[in-house]
Amino acid sequence: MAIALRHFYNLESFADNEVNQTYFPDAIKNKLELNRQAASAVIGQQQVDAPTAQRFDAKDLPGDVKPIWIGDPNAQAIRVSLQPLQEWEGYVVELAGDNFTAKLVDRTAGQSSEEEIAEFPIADLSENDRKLLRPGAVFRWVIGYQRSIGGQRRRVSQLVFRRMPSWSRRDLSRAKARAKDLIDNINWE
Amino acid sequence: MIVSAPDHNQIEISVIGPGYGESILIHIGSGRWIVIDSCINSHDKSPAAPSYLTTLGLDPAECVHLIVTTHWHDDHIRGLSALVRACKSAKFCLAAALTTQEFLETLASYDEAHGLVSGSGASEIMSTLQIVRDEGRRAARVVADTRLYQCPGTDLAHGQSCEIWGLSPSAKQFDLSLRAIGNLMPQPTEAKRRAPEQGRNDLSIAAWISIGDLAILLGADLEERNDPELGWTAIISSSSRPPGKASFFKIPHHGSFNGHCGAVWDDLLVSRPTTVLTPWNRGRGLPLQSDIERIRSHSDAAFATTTFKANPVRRRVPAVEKQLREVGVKIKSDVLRTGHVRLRNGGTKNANTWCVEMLEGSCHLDTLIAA
Repeated sequence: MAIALRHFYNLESFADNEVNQTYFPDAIKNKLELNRQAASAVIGQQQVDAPTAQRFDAKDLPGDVKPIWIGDPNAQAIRVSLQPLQEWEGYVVELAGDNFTAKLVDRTAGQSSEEEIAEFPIADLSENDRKLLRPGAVFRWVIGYQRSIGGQRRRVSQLVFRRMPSWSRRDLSRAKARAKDLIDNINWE
Repeated sequence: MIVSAPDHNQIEISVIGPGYGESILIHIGSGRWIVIDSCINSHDKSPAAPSYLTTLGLDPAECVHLIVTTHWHDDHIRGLSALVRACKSAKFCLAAALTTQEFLETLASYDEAHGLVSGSGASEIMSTLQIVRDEGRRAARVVADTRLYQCPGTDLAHGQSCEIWGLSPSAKQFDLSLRAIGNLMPQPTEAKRRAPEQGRNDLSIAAWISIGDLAILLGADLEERNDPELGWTAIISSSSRPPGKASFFKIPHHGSFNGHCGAVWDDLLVSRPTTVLTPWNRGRGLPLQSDIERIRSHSDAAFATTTFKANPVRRRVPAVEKQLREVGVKIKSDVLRTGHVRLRNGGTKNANTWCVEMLEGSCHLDTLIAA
């Protein structure tokens, strides 16, 4: 029933955990069910089924069927897209005071080696990214246009550190074996 | 630019850099070359040393007898694996501390960080060692006062014997470096990252080349530590180093004060030697004006391989340029244009007469900062 109601009231933008039993105490469920039945009668008793549901705007419903917004309607999941104009991969080479220095590889120009260097304020990083800040840490830096679902466009600069996988014991074991192989098999004088 | 190879009885010293890094080629006579370090030519993005030899009509696979990697900083090993691969006859030399299980295991661990466009920071040296291993090449571990190469005078057209020595790193430096390497080793559950750049140059190999009475001192990036068992003071104090005084000095560490040791000028060099350095453009840049003045107080024929004119920063579309201004980030080119200083002597008849050529944007040290 939660799925059907979500479609009926155009609530698909809500994630499952937002449209859950918490929002459907029995009294509301009963009222919604009565409203759904009334709406079905108005629109010819069409089946409201999850994969093929048609969406109905509130204006299509009779006056006594009022859509109930689950949660703040203004807080609907905002879908944004980023149109990159310029992208770099960078890595930290030095931390100094309030800034960090990084070497940059221009991905937009198709480079594979770092030819540029820049200094960035640490204060511009998110809290989560600051935890990742150390020499050798790798990030992606994009400048582009961000478009919101409403069509609003604004120019942004996004620097996000890569969440790299951890070294596993297998990685380190493989490294140990590789080092031993080189030492044992190089023709050292 | 003269594009022919030196005569068999001529000595040539070519210092190329930076571009990205520095590389020194020395013709010791009879078509035999040694190469110290590796760099990428900023003009064509090729490894500078084999590219130069090919320009002279030489085959790197035949003519290079020795490659010395003075330390593992990025600016001294770019293109190293391609250089070693091309120079199939060359013995490969590396500081002993960089050939230990601990160090190689650390590097190999960083090399497990895949998927990075800029590489792991360890791949160049790991690839190089893999080539040395796979092709059964000769290799040497270098500590202070290690003879790396010798050639009798009967094998060289000018009739002078040749010896090449590693003067550093010292035994104490070896021990200190092993402890420092332990701090670099990644731990399980630690997020992968690129191998961090190393701040100090303590494992740098300073090299001494003697050809008959001629001596050449190549300072790499060795810094002075004011410790009798470290840095330049350790070299001067050594009773096992080769005798003599050099008439050519590749200034260490881009001419910085950290690389300066007054006793080097007194004890290891003739009066007013010829000197060359490769500039560096990080931070305020090296050498500083004060460094130039200090070097010039010891050397008249003092040259830099390039000026501080970096490759121009790429211009982006207006929206990107505007965003960069708004966020206050200034991007600089990290790559200076590659230059080349070449010295050739007059061969057997004029062994002590040198012709200095400033090629591809190199300059006299006096004009470096103004250029």
